[in-house]
Amino acid sequence: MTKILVVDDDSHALRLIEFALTKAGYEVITATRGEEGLQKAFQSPPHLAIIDLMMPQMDGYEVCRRLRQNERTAEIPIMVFTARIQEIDRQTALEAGANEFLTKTATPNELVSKVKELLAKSAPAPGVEVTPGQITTLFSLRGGAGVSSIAVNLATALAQQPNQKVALLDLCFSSSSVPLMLNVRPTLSLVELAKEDTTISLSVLEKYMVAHPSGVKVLPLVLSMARVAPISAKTVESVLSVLKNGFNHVIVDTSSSLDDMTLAALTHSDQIILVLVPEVVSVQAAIVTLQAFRSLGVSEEAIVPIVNRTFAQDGLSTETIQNALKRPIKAMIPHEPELLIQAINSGTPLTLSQPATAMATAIRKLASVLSPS
Amino acid sequence: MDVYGKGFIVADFFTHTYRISARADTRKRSLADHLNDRLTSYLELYDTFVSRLHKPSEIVASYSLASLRKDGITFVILATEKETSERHTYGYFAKQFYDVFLTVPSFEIKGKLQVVGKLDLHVLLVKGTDTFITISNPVASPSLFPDITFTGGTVLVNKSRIELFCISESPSP
Ligand SMILES: Nc1ncnc2c1ncn2[C@@H]1O[C@H](COP(=O)(O)OP(=O)(O)OP(=O)(O)O)[C@@H](O)[C@H]1O
Ligand SMILES: [Mg+2]
Repeated sequence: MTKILVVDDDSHALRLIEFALTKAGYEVITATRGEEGLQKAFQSPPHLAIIDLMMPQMDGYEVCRRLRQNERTAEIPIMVFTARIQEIDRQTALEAGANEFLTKTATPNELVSKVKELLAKSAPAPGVEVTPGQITTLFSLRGGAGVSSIAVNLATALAQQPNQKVALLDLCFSSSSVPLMLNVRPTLSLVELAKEDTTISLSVLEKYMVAHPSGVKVLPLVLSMARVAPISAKTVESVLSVLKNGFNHVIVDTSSSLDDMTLAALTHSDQIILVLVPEVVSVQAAIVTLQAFRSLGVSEEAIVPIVNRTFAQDGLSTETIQNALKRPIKAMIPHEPELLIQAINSGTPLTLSQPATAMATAIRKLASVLSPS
Repeated sequence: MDVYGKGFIVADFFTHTYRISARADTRKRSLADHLNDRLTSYLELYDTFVSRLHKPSEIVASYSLASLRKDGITFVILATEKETSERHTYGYFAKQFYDVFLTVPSFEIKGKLQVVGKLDLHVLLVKGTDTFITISNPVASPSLFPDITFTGGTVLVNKSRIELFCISESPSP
């Protein structure tokens, strides 16, 4: 029987939730204090935990964090169920480790259906094999081609699709733009992880990742330039192989050089999105890159060349570019003069904040190519 | 709709430096009516959780009973649109919504103001007897942290705290 732990300091709410869940066929364990809830969870981990935020002494955020820190409960799905309705509460809850945020404006029936959804999402039905996810690396040998912008928007677009767990791995020391573009404030990064002497597992990685409200989990490279340290190809490889087993999509943002990290990502990807700008130097760089890919043994089918119109002027025609590359361009990302900058400044990707724009539409299309559903 | 609250409503009360999430007793009358009641200067709160404005999700203190000075409240955000004043408005006049923008200490608030009949700002802001004015679909941002927004179904704004009040010329469609 599926066991659900409910932690809520309000006994009236607790009884109501317990009643609804029991009626729906779940076994319910209750606690009215954060500490009590943790104790019960550690003793015998439930299949899912429903946590209230506003509780005396230990609040719900802290309960989430501690559940995530403990080996036994690190992977259980957590739903925060709260009377706090603000976006900032949702963000903080997700950052603390919650998988789902539901406000108490939802009826008990709605709560039960959310519980069902979350259980279905997190537990692969027994007997069903977990298919490993796809690693997609975005790359341009020429800087400023929009690699990070597309990576961020692609990741959020993929996360919008039903039942897709998406990880976004940042491998650029140069501009650490991913956390900025998503407005997430990480407290740990790959640099700290690389210094730890631990075997990398999914539950270890989750601690270093920060959740974006879209559902995308971001693994930043470095917190600040003062902490830069070399990351070996081996570290990147083991991070990728672990992420692959925990996520449907792993999107990798790279810098515009063929450093160790980038090479490791490129040679372990299922797809490489080669980003070009419609100008001669960029096309030249792409040609050189294709040669490099060949000598690295990257398979032809893995390469997805796309054109990103970062500037307003006409630029080279798609036909000219295709002829020069001797292969078709798989996607065109239109120029987005204002809203992209606005989206970056506000920390909400275009695919979420302005889904109707041509650029967001093009990126969703690219997402559906990667993940045909 | 608050089936979990048993006649108590959870709301976010903002002073110019704090966010206070708490429950108020709305079994006998609405929160707006409590706030507009000039006979009492304090509002009783239950299960009170206090956050500082620059980290509005972090809970720095919590107490099961509290008393909040009404004139210290800048505004109150509620999840639903219904929890407004119980006072009847008869259907003789058309109800229209105007876009409003206002500033109060430390915050700017956007939303929609429902006006019955002709819009008269003087009546609304000066002559009206209510201490709190009701605005729907609010978006409030601390002026120092404009990236943070607080939204809800309704906001009750303390009229004496309003510095700037802007309203669209004609009702919004
Ligand atoms: N389709 C587009 N339309 C308009 N501007 C764009 C477009 N794509 C990217 N840009 C702009 O181009 C600039 C560079 O983008 P971005 O940082 O994503 O590129 P990058 O390839 O990751 O750069 P770097 O080499 O520094 O990592 C940004 O200012 C971004 O807003
Ligand atoms: Mg970049």
